[in-house]
Amino acid sequence: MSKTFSFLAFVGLFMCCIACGTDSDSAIQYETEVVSTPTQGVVTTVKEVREGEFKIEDEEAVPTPDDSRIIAKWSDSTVDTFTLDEARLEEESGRRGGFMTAASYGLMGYMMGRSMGGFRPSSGAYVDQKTYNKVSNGAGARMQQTAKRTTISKPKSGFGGKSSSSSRSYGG
Amino acid sequence: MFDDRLEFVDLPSKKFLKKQGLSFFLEEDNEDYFTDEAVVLFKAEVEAFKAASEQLYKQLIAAAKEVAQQGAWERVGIPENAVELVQYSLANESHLHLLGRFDFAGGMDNMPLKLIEFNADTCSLMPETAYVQAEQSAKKRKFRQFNQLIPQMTASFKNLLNRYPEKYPNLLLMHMGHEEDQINTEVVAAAARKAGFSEVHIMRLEHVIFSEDEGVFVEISANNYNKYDFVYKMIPWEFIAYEEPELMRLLTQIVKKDLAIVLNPAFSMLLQSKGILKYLSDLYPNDSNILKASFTASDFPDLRYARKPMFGRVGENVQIFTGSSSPASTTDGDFGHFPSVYQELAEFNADEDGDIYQPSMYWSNAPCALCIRRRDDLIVDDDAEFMSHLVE
Repeated sequence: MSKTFSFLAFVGLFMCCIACGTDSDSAIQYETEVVSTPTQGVVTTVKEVREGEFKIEDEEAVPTPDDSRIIAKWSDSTVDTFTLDEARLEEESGRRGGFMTAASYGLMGYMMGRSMGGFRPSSGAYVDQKTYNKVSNGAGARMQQTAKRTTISKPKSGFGGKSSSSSRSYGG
Repeated sequence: MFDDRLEFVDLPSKKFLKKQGLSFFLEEDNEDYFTDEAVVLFKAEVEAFKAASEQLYKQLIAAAKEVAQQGAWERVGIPENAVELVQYSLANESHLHLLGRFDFAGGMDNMPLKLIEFNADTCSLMPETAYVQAEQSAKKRKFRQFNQLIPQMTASFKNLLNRYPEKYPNLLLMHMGHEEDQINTEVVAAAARKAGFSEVHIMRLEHVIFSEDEGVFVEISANNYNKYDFVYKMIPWEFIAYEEPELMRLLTQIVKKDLAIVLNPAFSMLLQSKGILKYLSDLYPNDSNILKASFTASDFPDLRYARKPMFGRVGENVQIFTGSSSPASTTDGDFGHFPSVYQELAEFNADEDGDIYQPSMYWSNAPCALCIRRRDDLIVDDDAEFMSHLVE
């Protein structure tokens, strides 16, 4: 599994605050961003309500992101359980699709790289408002409470931006 | 006679350079950079360069430890904000020094082999050495060439991967945007791919995100971040320490918390400093490969010395004094603000036109490739020609 995917699977960035600071030595302005990382995973159950159309039937928090699963209930009454990798392969195979996209609009979206700050599950992705409320107040609230928050710094123009970076080599 | 060592070779063709992604060398300023002559060395001479490099590397590490023991950081130009990491790196990261290049004087025609300096941090000339001189020597079947730059770097990378099985084998190579730096990082990238890194990405520094809690990232699309466990920087440590102190602080945390392996390690800044040459000559005053060096010109009453900035590149801001109080040769540059280091003059091999030849040996946990530059002046600077070599 690529590192990109594994990292995306559990990290969402959101700009909690922007603190523009000035370093006295370099006069560079920095942006401070708070990175919110889910420490819990989620099991999302999606149900095929019409051919190729899925709604989220339930979502439960699980101890770690690696425990995350998508349970797909097909209209022919079969049920499959996928890890995120397996779900992606299934969709890419073209055999049966749509369930992963539906899941991405729920809490599972955080496991797929959606921002924990900028993204909120869409009530329209759930089978009904009651399910949406239950998930939001239950698993959703717990995932937000248990998220790990760290701070990253990056210059507004990027490090090295003030140098004449294109005019000279830094090799020797 | 040195001229007898010169063997005609084909210039690298435009097609070859373009195919190798080296169109940079076709630009107007570089049109006379390569030569149609190669320098022939005897095998014993190459072995002597290798042996000297082996020995000098150990001696440089000893000199670096002497600096640390004396706490002489300021004396060798290590700013206060870099001391913590350089000290940590010297104590813990000796296995991480991926690449350096020794620049020598002499070494041919029984001329004494002398260390001019060690480019320990962000050495260049890599594509010329790895690809161009190999191409130029391809038709010279009766000769060999000592050119193991990529294989030896590959071996060093493999050692790193074996040493850190818990880390994800991805590598980010950062540079400041100059094309020459980019094509040099591409050589390192090629070695990393051969070694088994599954993801190798090259990126300008300004696009790289650093977190003292999480490590080193690149945003590959909106809200999608790639984290890198291994980082190679074609950006000098002294530039980071002096010009980007916040980045120095972040990298100190990232390295000490083991959030990423940063290559070359911070102690390469100490080996890169010309100040280390003073400690080297103090420790080994009678070594045949080491020139006397000092922080004061008065230590050279014969007025025969080179004056160099503590951190300088490609021969910039260097003065050569050949017995007079006025310099015989001077170069301009961007590094004149650094304190000076004074080094005894060395004799270079020269041809009948008076052009001097500076051999260099790459180091990647072992001596691994030779290259030569030629200059029609006393200072080997950015206007020097790159020369291939052949081994008889």
